[in-house]
Amino acid sequence: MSRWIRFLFAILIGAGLGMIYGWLINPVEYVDTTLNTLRIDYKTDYVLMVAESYQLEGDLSVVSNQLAWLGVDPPKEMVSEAILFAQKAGYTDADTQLLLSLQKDLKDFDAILEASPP
Amino acid sequence: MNNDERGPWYLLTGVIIGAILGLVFAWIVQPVEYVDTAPESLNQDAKDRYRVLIAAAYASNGDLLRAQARLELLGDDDIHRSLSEQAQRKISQNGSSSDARNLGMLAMALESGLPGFNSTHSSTRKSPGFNISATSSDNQQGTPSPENTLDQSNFTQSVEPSSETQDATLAPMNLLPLKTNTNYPGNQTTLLIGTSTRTGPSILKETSTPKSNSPFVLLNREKDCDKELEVPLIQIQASDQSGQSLPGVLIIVAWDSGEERFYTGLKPEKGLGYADFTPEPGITYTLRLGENGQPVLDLSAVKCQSSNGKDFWGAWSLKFITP
Repeated sequence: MSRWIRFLFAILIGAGLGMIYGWLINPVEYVDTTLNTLRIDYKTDYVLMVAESYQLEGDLSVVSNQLAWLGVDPPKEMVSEAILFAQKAGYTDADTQLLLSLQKDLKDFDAILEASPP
Repeated sequence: MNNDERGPWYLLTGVIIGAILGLVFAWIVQPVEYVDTAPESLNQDAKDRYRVLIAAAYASNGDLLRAQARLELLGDDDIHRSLSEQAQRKISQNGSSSDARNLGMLAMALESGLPGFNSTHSSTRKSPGFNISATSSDNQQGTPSPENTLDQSNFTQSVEPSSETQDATLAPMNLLPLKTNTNYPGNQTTLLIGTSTRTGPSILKETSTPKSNSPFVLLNREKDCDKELEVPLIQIQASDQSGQSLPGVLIIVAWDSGEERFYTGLKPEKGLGYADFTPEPGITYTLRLGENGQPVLDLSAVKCQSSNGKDFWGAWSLKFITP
């Protein structure tokens, strides 16, 4: 076996050792993440919490602020995604209704904003 | 020098180069992207926001087990302590008083095992610039859903069915804890949280827990020099006529140049009806419970003297009861 082939093998072994270290011995631990990285089921529950608190507060600006932490999508799209997941995952009717109610209010509010003169 | 004379060191060089290339690939070319994380991995700021939202949702639906299940997702060692500390931080940083109140009330509810809030399902709510027809959850009837009917053995707490004679603080709710469902496509554990469903009367009986602006009368006001304190204090105890401590009572302390608002119960280790305030020496304060409460005038830092003539700080002890 030529010297260069052995050298390339050594590189591969080094890379392999690096990956074993990175994936098995000292794998990545998720710490200090932000709300926008949450898994879809947690995001959906977050949106549900927003909808629950909205029942009491009734303030869509608070809703927008709370949802902004989940990502850059418009609030009503985030709520729509949450509804889709909630329906797929079998959330109770009451919870789904809360989400639907919030979605409706967000759409109504958008419509009012669009209709109002600049 | 020929190849044999140079020895096998080149192999070690190759391993090192390979490891460096692996790290460059892992850290720069294709760095880790955080996706599909769990609340436990959130940074402190995001966890604080999550807690505020849990408390706000609890203030709205009064579902303690659901709130508890959500809090457990954050992986705090001591849920109750995390809530209390955050509530106190909010107050000290002049954060939202409603957030602090919600956090404090949830902490107290967890401590006492009771919902802690009056029924807050409001049939009239503040409108975001236009009227919205209210949707009261009080009349919602629980519809068994797949996750609610599965795995009953996982229930960590059960609540007896409603009774007409129950107090609202023992509200007739079927409280369902967090459920997991592994049947979700992709075989990942899916967060499904049960719902609280009120099956009792939609109008709850009056409870001993007052609204934050309920009137109180001053039962007792005295200087307390029993303990040597590091800082002067104004200590407040709020209770009902039967002597039951009342958490969540709004306290307003005003002085010439400012005002501070806080609630009883944010230091549950000292009692659910307890709150305190540190007065600045030389300033005179007025204190009242609730927006329309009876003002207690001329409160200032209490200076005490021990038997050997040493000065130390004492406290004003104010006891309020519902009339």
